[in-house]
Amino acid sequence: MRILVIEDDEAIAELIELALGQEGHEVTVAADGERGLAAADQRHPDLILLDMLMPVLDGWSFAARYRGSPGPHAPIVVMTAAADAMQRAAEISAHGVLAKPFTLDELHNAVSPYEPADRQDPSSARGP
Amino acid sequence: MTPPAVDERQRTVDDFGTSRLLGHVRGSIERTFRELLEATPDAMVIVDQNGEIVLLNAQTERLFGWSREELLGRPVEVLIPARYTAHHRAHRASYFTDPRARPMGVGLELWGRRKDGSEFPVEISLGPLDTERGMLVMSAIRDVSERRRADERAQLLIRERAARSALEEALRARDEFLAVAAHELKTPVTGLAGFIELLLREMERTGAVDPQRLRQALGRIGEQSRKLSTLVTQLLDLSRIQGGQLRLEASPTDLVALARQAIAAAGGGATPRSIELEAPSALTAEVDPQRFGQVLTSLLDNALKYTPPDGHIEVSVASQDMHALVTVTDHGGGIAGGQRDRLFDEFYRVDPRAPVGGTGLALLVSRQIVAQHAGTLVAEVPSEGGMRLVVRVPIARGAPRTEAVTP
Repeated sequence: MRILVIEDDEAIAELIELALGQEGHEVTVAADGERGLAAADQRHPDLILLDMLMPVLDGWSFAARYRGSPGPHAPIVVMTAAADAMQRAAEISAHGVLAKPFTLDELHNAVSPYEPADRQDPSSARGP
Repeated sequence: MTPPAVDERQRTVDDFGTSRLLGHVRGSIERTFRELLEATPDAMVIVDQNGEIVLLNAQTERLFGWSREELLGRPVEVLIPARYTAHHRAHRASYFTDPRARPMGVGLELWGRRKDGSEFPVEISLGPLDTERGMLVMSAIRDVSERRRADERAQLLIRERAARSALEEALRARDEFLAVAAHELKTPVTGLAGFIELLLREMERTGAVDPQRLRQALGRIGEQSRKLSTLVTQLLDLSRIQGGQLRLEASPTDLVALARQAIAAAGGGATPRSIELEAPSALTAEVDPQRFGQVLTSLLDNALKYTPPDGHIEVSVASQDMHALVTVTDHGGGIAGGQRDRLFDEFYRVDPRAPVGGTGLALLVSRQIVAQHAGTLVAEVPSEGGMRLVVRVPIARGAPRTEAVTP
């Protein structure tokens, strides 16, 4: 699926891009919320992985502006190093949360529920 | 002609009746006065102009341990600790020249002395009594030991409460410190472990790793390790400062030159953003040049982080009221003041009114270093957006700060 990663830390963005790319996803990376909005507009992602603390336009502002734009809107999974990750996710009504530090398995598990049904990865498919 | 006997008898009867009546009245007044005296909760002692005790109530006997008979006719100084008696005699004499109701020894701690020589704190009110025996002075004496003890207990309670809130503050600061430390460490730890995992995955899948991919991953692993090492150094700095072990080597330092150096080195020395400096030709303050340079670098790094490549940053150095003021202002676009405030919540609050944070540890360390210089570091959110960090330190160092600075 098409995944938009909005993360200002270059190393983390690259890691996610490579790991999800390995699993066959089409990954776009944006370094701040502003560029994230432009990328979302162009690429119509199936899922957005969103960091919260970013320069230029932070996660809160991104979520508000993205949802205020004409739809459809992809689900958002928050990536955060905050002590209370769930709280962060609740603040922007995110669909999911990926707490830092995370392993690549955790990254996989955070992404797989949003796989469109017709293209679902067999390894993460639910039972019949 | 009126018989004189009748007159005589009449007068005698009259006289007898009047004096009896007066006697009754006087007796009743005296009785009332005595009853009043006994009903008063205070010890009441009445003395004449010679300072001799002429009247006292039962409370006096109880309070001082003397009996009425023992006290009557004795100088009132018998109720006062010996060290005050001479003084008291002089004061007593002067009271009679200006007798009016007033508390005695305002602002002084007064002491009473019991028959056994023990002392207790008292409060005394004085009032003149104009009588046929001449001017008398009535003193109401109250034992205030209980109240004094209660005051002391209250004081103790206040001190205990202050100590407890200082302790709670220190614990809260430690919790915040740990939260900041954990937050800052999470990103490089994710990177380190993630890239290693990525390489292992690829080896498992394909039996080998593409050399290009290997170089890329190893580069990141090295970078994340250095990041971790910097963070650990900062954490050590912080714990040294908090433990009071960071010794400043302050010397007269030109802050303008220091600011120029920091600007030149900002962002690794190769930054496309323009940084403007507004400063006099020189401004000397007594600071630790290395530590203060570190602060300026951290402030600039923070500003750079929030400035787009085409944006600009303003740095100013100025003096104000014997203090040096260094400000770093960025115009981080797109982040409204309110949201930016929330951004600081994530990290650290200098004080509830002026949150500082954003780049976490580096600013936290900066704030501590500035505090060690007896200065302040606060964040301001200008109405036009962006953020201004303001450092204020005394130009000359006063008495050396010996106590540990707790955040």
